[in-house]
Amino acid sequence: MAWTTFPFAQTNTDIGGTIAKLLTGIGLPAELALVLGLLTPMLVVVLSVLTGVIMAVWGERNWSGRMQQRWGPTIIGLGGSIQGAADGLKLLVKEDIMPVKADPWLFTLGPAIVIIPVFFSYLVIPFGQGMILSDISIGIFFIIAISSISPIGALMAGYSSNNKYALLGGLRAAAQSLSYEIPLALSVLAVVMMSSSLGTTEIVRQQEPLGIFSWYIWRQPIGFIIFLISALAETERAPFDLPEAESELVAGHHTEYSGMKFALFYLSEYANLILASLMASVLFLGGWSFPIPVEMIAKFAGIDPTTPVFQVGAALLGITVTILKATFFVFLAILARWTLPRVRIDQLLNLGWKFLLPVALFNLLLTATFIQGYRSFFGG
Amino acid sequence: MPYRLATPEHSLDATQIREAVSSTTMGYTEEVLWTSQNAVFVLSGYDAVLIFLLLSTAVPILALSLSKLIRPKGASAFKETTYESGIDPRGDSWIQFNIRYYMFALVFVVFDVETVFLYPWAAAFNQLGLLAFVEALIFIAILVIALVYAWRKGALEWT
Amino acid sequence: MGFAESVQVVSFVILTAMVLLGAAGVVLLRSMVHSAFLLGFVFVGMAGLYVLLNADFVAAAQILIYVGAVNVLILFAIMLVNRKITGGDNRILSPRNTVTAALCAGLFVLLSSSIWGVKWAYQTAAPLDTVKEIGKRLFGEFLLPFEIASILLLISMVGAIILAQREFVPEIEEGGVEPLALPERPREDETVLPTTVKR
Repeated sequence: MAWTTFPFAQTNTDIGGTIAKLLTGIGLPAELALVLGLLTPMLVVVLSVLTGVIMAVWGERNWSGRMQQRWGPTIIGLGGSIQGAADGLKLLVKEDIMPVKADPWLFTLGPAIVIIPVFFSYLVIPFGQGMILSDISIGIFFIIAISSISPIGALMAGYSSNNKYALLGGLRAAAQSLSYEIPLALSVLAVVMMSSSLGTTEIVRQQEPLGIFSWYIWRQPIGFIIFLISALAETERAPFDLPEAESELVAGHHTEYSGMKFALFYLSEYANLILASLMASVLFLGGWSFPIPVEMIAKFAGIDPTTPVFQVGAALLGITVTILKATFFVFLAILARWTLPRVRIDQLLNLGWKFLLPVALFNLLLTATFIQGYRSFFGG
Repeated sequence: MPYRLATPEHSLDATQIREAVSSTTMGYTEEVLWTSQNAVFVLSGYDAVLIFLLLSTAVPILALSLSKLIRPKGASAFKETTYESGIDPRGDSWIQFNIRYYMFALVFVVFDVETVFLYPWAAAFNQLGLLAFVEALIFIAILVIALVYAWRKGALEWT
Repeated sequence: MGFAESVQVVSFVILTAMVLLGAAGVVLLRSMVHSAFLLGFVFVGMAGLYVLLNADFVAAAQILIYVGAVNVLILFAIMLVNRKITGGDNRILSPRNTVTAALCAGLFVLLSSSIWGVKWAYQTAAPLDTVKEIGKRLFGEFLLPFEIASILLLISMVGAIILAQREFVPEIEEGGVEPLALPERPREDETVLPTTVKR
């Protein structure tokens, strides 16, 4: 492994490297310091994702409540904000029921296989300027590849439960995520073509120079809409929540699950929603970039952009902007849930294969033609 | 972009690497296969990939073992029966499901392979000429033919 | 041997064990569904080996295509036409097993002799952006294979659709175990009141 490079090495905010240097300073061996220096930001990311899930659960229940003219959770924490954590704690101490007829190994492995890819995908999400766990060159392709493992987990859970609802739910989950993977990949491809890089940091950097005007949403409106619909379907949220349609399949592939194993499914669902929101903001809304470029603000206010104070401020602004953009997409998903009725499976597949796929192909060709014709405007 | 190597003593500049790569791909050199001295891992950032893979695998393991420690044990026989909306489960879980699931997976495999081919094209698009654009057009046209065929043959119908 | 190299060697050993043991499991397990799930595990191990060979794009493509698409297709197919192999010759030296073993041994000898025969090149170094390099090569020296590959894919899809559209509804053998049935663990007597059972 290239242990000589830190994940934060090429940037001005070298957190991992700083920690590693600090640890070697107090006498730790260099390798251990390196590993710990890499591990610390990762633990921060994992904990942030867990916090994000708690906040998303609160947001979902609170906003859902308001959309239905009721309050939602209000008691635990400030305005019910840690309701999700309380639910998680409850599920932790719940007894674990495994049906007699279930396949014990696959039944336990199913939720793990669903959740590992979701967490692993956060590796290439940039949370701010240089704040990315590992800026590997395959970037966004990594997320698409890794998240294609999850349907196997759903199938595993569905099959091993030995329950009719669960098997059907698992099959539907797999079929649905297959059907929307191609339009998703094609809409990402159009963005990749414009930034001529798969790296997530590079994609965001391409959207920085003119602030809000360089965001890809303006140059990729079709791709943006395709991405939103496909991502909503990939996260299996309403109106595309067929795999767990409660009126027909009880709870889909997690019908038989209880306790911590159910909590893992629940966690992965929300972590996946946040991941998709972050992906949408990185690909189309310029990731960490503020609507007005920070360099321009610095010039206007007469501050030297190389001072440490400004750097820290810009980094904090970057994180805040990223979180706000992701929150916007989470809100959009919740809004869609209470606005649109659930689609039927034939409608779902028709939308994916007969509408989104041709349109995504067309969008890709259109982008290629525009780049070929107007390189200065479109070509990254 | 500067090329970086795992160990400092291997540091070569870009032209040297290019020469080395072209000389090894064109004609086989006389060296032996794999010793620890020449196993060079050049991709950067994969140390973090390995650690994060271990960390994300640890998440479900930790969660499940923690709950195993503190949750109450022992369920009753009624709880452990298969759930079928409150009545006794009938027959096995095996159901004759729709062959359409299989058809969609089949078409998906083909399209998935084709999109993988398009990634390198998209990433290198601005460095490729007009010829590559035309070639990719042909490639996508064949993809469209495949889609039209599957559509016409009813492989995309849910019946 | 430095820290980085030892991590590489350990990863290589673990991945190789994962692939070999997994593959053995795929062949030896009695349940077809278990074999299919294990096959996905083997594919992930192969992707890891590709990463060790500096082929990051190939590794990700391996996961996307083999785990995300091919393995799901295999699982669908097995779940659709799964049946217990009943009757048949269960001896180790049955004609079928003998022929299979001979074929596999022949293939093994062929592959290992060809691997042995090649003077393998040093892996000196690879350019960092493998994807762009693949793109340039694909539209440079490998242009014709690239286009032929797309036609091959089209033909394979046409063939697959024609084959799959024939009716194949699995018939349930009389008296046999129903397909896709998990081995049933002994059911507790449900007529008595719920009691605590030991797991």
